[in-house]
Amino acid sequence: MEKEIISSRQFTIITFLLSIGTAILIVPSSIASSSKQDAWIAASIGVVLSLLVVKLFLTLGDQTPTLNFIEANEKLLGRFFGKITVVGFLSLTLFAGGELLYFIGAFMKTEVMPETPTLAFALLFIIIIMYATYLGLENFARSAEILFPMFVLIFIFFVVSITPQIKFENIQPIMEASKTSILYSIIRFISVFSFSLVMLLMIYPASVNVQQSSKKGFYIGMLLGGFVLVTLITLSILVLGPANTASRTFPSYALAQRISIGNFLQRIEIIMAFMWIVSIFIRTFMYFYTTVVGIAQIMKLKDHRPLILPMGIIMVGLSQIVHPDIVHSNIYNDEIWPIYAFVCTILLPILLLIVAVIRNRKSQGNEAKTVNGENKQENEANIGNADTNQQKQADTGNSDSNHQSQTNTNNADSNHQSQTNTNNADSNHQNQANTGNSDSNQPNQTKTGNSDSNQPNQTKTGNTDSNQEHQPKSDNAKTNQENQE
Amino acid sequence: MVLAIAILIISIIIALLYIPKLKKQQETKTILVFSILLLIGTALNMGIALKINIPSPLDFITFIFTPIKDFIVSLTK
Repeated sequence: MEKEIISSRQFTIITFLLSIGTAILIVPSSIASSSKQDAWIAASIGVVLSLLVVKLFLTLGDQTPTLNFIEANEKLLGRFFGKITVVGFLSLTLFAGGELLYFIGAFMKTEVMPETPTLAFALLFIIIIMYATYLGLENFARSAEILFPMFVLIFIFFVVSITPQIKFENIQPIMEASKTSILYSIIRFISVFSFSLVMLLMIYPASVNVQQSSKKGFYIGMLLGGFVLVTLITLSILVLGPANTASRTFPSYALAQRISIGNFLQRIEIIMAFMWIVSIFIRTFMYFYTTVVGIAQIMKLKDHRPLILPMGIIMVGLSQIVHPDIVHSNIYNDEIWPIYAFVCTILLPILLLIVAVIRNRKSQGNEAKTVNGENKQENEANIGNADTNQQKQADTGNSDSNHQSQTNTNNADSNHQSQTNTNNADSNHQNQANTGNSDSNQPNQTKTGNSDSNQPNQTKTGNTDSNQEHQPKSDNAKTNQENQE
Repeated sequence: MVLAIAILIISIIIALLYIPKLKKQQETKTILVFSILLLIGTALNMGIALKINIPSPLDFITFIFTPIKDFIVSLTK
């Protein structure tokens, strides 16, 4: 696959439109139903908390500057566990992509063209998405750049023309909602708004030209998107009232229907619908692109393009079966999606981040570590050695075997029960000698003599057996580590 | 019925367009993944066209995460 590079400005725009995404359509009613007129407070808190989410993604991106999210999974967790997590992640993107096609179909069918089957909209939409994916990320970024000013203009026009209808009684009394309902609203808002930004890790470290300014762009895009959403939610409540907002499926569309300038300029909601069609296009593209590229990468294919048509067919099919009706979709989006998304887009990056930080510290030859940390490392090193050897660093094999021998020395010192086998202990001593040697030669020297002397230790069965014994313990250690972090 | 046959024909056309090209490039693995995905997609869409009741994959996800949801709800009560 050839490398595609987008500019940091394009990246900001993609972040902006992606974070708006479907949230513009479904979030107002969802959070107004739980926290009533205080929904705007919940949304504002959600935007602030999203800063932490973005911080997490950026930190993970910095740890793996040349890889995208899928490759990082496989590199950090090893081939086997990496594949499992990637499949979990891709299930999320695939189903969510199908869901978005369902949303665009449901939206058009209920509000605009009631007699057209949803399949028609899904089909038309996926054709554009497939074409965009076929042309690649750069073309997509340019098209986002063209759509962005239109989006902003329409949004400003929308806000200005709806302002005369604001009734401040709708938002009073302020702060009446209970803490629990606010909490639920925040969770729902974040799960739709910022959890999907994890897909930008497919672009962020590897395919942007200036990483520093795209880092800023990530924050700016997210904050601007949050601003748009908070404005829309506030306007929905101010104009429609909390009860009306909650009972509608697509309150922002109902809001656009209220626009009436001098009883002359009316019924312009379909122009306003341009906004959410654009933002849903961006988000669906990202889901689709992530799925296609992800499948191509875990299967180690050279090109992802042949997979576009079959995946498009699957996604159209999915859009017809994901939700039998809108109630199913509401329940799913309110109750299950936040947890599902949290596991795949927050817990998984946190896990990757912990592994990446420990690995990086390791490869710098930092010795100030606890035995627990060592054990955990060793576990990963084992996985890496046994399963992958995919690492692109020239010195990986060398450093990994060094890690093993280091951990062995530690084991020999602290865990006496592992030394019942004298043979094992002997090999540990050998390792100790080697460790000293390799440490003095660090970092990153690919000395053949050195690596040769380490290689036999790696293949020694007694040694690896003792490693295996420590693995149950390392699970404990892992949880400890997580707590510390 | 007509729709299902149309979907089948479209899928066959897609396969005929892509597979010889990939064969020329000697990408056996791509052909395999491509065929599997195309097969799933065709079967799915034909099932929809024939109005067979296919369960939503999200029901499975719901089944997995419902205990966690119940736990969280019980915490906040």
